[in-house]
Amino acid sequence: MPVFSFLYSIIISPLELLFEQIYMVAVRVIKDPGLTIIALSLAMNFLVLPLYQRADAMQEEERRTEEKMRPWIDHIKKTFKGNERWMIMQTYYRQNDYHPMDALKGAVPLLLEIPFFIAAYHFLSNLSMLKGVSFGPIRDLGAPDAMLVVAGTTINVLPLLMTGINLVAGAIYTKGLSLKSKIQLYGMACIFLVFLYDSPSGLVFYWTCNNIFSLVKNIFYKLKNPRKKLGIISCLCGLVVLAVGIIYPRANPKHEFFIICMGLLLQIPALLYKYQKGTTSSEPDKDGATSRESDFIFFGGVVFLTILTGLLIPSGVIQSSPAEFINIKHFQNPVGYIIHSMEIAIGTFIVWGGIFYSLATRTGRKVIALIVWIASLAAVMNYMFFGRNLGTILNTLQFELYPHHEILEVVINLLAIIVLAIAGMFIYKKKKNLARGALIISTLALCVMGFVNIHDINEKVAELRIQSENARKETVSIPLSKKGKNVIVMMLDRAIAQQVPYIMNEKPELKEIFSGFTYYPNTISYGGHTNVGAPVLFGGYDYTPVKMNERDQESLESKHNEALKVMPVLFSQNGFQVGVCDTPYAGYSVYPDLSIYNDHPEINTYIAEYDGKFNEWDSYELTERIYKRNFFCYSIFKIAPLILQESIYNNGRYNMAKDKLEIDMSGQVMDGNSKASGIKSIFMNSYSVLQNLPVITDVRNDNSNTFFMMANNTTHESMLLKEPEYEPALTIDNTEYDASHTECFTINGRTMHMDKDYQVTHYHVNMAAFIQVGRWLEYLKNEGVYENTKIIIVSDHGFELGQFDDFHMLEDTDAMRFNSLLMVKDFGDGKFETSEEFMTIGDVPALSTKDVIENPVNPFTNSDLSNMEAKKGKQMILETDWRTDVNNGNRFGGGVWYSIHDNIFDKNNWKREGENP
Amino acid sequence: MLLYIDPGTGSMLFTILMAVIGAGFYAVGNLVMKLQFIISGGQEKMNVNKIPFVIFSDSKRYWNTFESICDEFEKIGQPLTYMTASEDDPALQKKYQYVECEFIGEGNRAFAKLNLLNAGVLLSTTPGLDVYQWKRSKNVDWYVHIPHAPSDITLYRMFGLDYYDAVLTSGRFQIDQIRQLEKVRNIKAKELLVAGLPYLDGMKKRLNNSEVKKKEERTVLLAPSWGESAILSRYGGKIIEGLLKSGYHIIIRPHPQSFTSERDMIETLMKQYPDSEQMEWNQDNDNFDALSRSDILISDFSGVIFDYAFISDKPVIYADTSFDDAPYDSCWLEEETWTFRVLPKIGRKLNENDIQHIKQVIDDCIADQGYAKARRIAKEEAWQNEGKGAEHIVKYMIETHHKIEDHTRGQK
Repeated sequence: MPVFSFLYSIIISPLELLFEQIYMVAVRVIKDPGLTIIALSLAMNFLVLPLYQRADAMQEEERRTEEKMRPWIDHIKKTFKGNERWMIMQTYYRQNDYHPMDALKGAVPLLLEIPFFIAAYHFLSNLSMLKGVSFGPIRDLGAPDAMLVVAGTTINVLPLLMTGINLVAGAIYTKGLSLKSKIQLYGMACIFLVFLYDSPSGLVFYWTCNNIFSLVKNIFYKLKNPRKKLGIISCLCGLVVLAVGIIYPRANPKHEFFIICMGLLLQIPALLYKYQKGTTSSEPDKDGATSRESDFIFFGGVVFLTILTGLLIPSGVIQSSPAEFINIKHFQNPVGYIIHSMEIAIGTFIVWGGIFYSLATRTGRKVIALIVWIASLAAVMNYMFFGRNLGTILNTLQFELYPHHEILEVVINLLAIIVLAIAGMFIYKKKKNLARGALIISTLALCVMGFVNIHDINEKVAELRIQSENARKETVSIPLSKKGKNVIVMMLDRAIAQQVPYIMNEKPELKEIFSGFTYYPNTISYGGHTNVGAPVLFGGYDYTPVKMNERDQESLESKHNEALKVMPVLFSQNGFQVGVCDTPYAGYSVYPDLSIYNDHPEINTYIAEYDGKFNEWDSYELTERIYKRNFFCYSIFKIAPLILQESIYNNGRYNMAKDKLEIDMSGQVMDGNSKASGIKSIFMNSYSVLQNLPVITDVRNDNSNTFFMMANNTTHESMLLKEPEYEPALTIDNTEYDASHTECFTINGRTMHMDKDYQVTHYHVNMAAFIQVGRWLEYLKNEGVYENTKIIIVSDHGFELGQFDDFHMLEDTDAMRFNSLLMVKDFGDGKFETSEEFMTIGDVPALSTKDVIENPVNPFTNSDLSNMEAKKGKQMILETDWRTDVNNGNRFGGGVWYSIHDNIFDKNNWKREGENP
Repeated sequence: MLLYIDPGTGSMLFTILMAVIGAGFYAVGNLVMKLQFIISGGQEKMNVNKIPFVIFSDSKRYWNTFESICDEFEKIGQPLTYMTASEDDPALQKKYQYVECEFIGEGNRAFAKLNLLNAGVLLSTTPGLDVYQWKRSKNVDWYVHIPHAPSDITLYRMFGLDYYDAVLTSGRFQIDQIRQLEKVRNIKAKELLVAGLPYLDGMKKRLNNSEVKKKEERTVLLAPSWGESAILSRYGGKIIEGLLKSGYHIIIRPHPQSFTSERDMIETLMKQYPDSEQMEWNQDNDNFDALSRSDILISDFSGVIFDYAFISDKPVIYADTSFDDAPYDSCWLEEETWTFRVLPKIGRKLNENDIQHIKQVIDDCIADQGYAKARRIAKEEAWQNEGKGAEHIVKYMIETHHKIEDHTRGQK
């Protein structure tokens, strides 16, 4: 039922999300799940207190109005009949500003209870974190308490206790009220008893806490001057908290800040009381214009926030790379995630915001409208101007590198928010028209941008659908002949050249396995990213960034596609059976558009990793559920003040507290450099291809010649792996192994740093790639196709991992980015060797054709591929924008040129040449 | 290569879009201003099409109220539209130069038209505006009510006048009554003014001008109301018998409604007591002749009683009718109604026992100077501005219209 699910999304989902956020934040501070339930109950109750207060007041007001109107209503009913009775009654209602729908007002508190109950029920009864956790006399918060056993029958005590408290609270509340109210309340208590009797005790405990809260609240309201007393109590508690915070300062400044804030926040009720006392009865029925204005600003503001968080931010993320949010196997249009975010945003801001707003007093509404207005301003400011350098974000909505905000940035952000709030307040007070106009205009702007994004996404998705359908037709196969010659070029995206000795050091058996390979540590790429590296790697020196820019009458995309075709076409022309797989940015598309090879039907094309075909870990439904929740959370994270962002981001978990598996599949979350939980699905897509290389290799007993060219991202999707196997696992604890293997990382006095998480994870994925490729090499050896196969393993670029003290060659970047992995095994076998010869990735076509094709010539430019003149002297490297949908003119635009010659380990050979126009 | 997602920066785009949409808004704003200008021309048109003065009469019965008002408009040459829900309204036969008389359909058809009316000042005797089917039109500036009886203004069905802008009463006490209702109901105060009662003015004038030949003998008019508690239903032949015994000339004028609602009863009586020298059944459309020919009225219908007492200054005998005010505005006020306060002062209450010696009762009544004095006092209370009702009403309407026009102009 789409209507039902929509209603659930807009009414219940926001509450569930709130429960989850509060619970997860609280459990981090309190640690104990049982105490956290108390905190959750307190937080939720205090949060909805004003709501219930108003609802109660409305119920009371409705009761009074009805009471007041009762005699005349009876009179009219008795006196008039038929239509006249109805018309007279309507007139009477009208004169009393009463609407028959107002009768519902009385039911508001009860109606409000329902969604809160559903959300709490859904959240707590499924919360696996409570399973097996004991709390006081409760053995397992995840199961019914079964505390009493009478004559062999187990009795759940907690639900009975809860009902008892509920009845007492009800008795106090309904004192002096009509029988109807009493029956209503006692009836509800009984329903809750029946409903919750067999529920997990965690949930019952939560509800018991709620009932205790309302009991205290009801007693409180029976007191004289409850507001004053509340003010005093809260003020005193606040002072105690402040004193504790100051006398016993916390080690963690965030916790200290939190405590001080709590202490100050607790002063609010007293201040409010003082303020309201001064202004009581000073709320005359002012002109409706003011109230209409604040209505407008409130609704304008919440619509704006809804569009921003539900539409624009999620669509922006997906639009930047729709392919990464599509599970090719299931092919779900990612626009669905935007719709879901939109629903949660509508629920959060418009529905619940609206409920709070409409239940507020006139002054309350003005304050809420002001808050929403300032929040809208702050949201845009935070989104547009702050926290923008968080690095790249993965398709799991996690940042590649854990984002930290500099304290200075946080302070600037806070100051900016304060300034903005003051300005916002001024505009709100003096220039409501301006506020109104700004809200309308920017909401429209957001809508336009959002829909443009969705349009782009749909276009790209349509393309991808065709591509994926074409590609899926054939299952990848690497044909290798036993008697002919086989040439394989395997690009490992972002593989780190300098880590190879350390990998071999930790796993010396790899040297055996990689027998016959020559490792060239002195190898450069021509750029820091695939869009610059791949063309020269696959096409040779005609496709260096300098050459690419020289041919400025052709698009980068066409030159890139041409480069990807150089070797396949050349080998094909020379009678080789040719296959290509996952060639990067084919058609300048993240999901390779292999139709670029359509004019050479003899070339077999395959998609392997992008389909996740081999990924057994793939859990489509889970990813779906996670996307549906986390896009909205990501939006909230982006618009929040920097000081809160880390708590919302929660190591990329966005305070998700669902089943363990859900967290696991939402990506990996690290705890230090040795522990982690979860799996990056996208890593698994690539890794599973390497795992399956033996499976997809088709060894044939013939004498044909074969050429196979592929790319793989295992080395790109950095992730912590389980040692010593370096395999993915749901939970990883490498502490012991790491402690005993620190010496691996120093060879001949040259230490490779492994302090930062990204240094460790990159090492892990490189190691994993070597191990898996190694297994395949062994397979080739066993199959007897190793010696007649030439294998080139190469990376298109490196990454600035800052792992070597002697490799700081450039002021503004780490030379590791431009250092490519190059390992070549020619025909035959031998030892694993290292060559210090200066190499570039532009050598790959020459290396692959050497001894295979005589006088190899680029079929498109007619250059001699074996000519090595190009790598003599200064080599120009370009660090530029990596996005093929942005950097897609005829020349690479922007960035910085560097130069290097002959030996990358000599700092004098490196130079920053200047900016690229 | 893969997995670099830039989280939808677009801030430049955002800024540009803001500017574009802002400019768009400015353009649209201009357009709206222009449209408003055009529409305000339309508004002018609306104003041009506005009928400045409208009278709505839900029945031809009220022509006696509206005739003198129409005449007054005609006299001063001020155009007026008279809308009636009676196809046979005498107004439709009148040849006015300035007054346009129009039949707008009966019942809901009339209301449908009125609910969308575009007019300045609308005058009507119809109660229940905005309570029953007749709703206030957004395009009528001012609704004015005039009563059609010189008695309590609170004897309309509940909320009868609450949604009028103004009520032009015939006596001060009616203003007090309306103010009290406004107070207990906490509703907007209306503009209230004592204007007079045109239909009484008209009757009085007619009486003064008429040359009705009154019989020498004493004539008794029995003009009952209808319904179960009305005189004829209650006393039937007994009272006719008693009157016949008195020897006086008798005119029996049943309520027109009796001929439809209680036809059997009336026809039986008419058969039993046919017209004779001494007695006549009067079914004239107009009660004027019967009123003017008689010396005393026996009735249970307050409207007729006061009309009779005030115009002909003759005594009345009123039946002991029980009155349940539950459906009326009057039940909202604690004070006794003016009618029931005044009736005992201006006439004799008829008891069942009186029927046997009705002649005596009639004679006493006619002779009692106390009744005559009370009649004059009551008349002063309930019928002010005698003879000038229409004039006052028209003056008020025109002044109000001017005020509204000035106000609208001031707003522009």
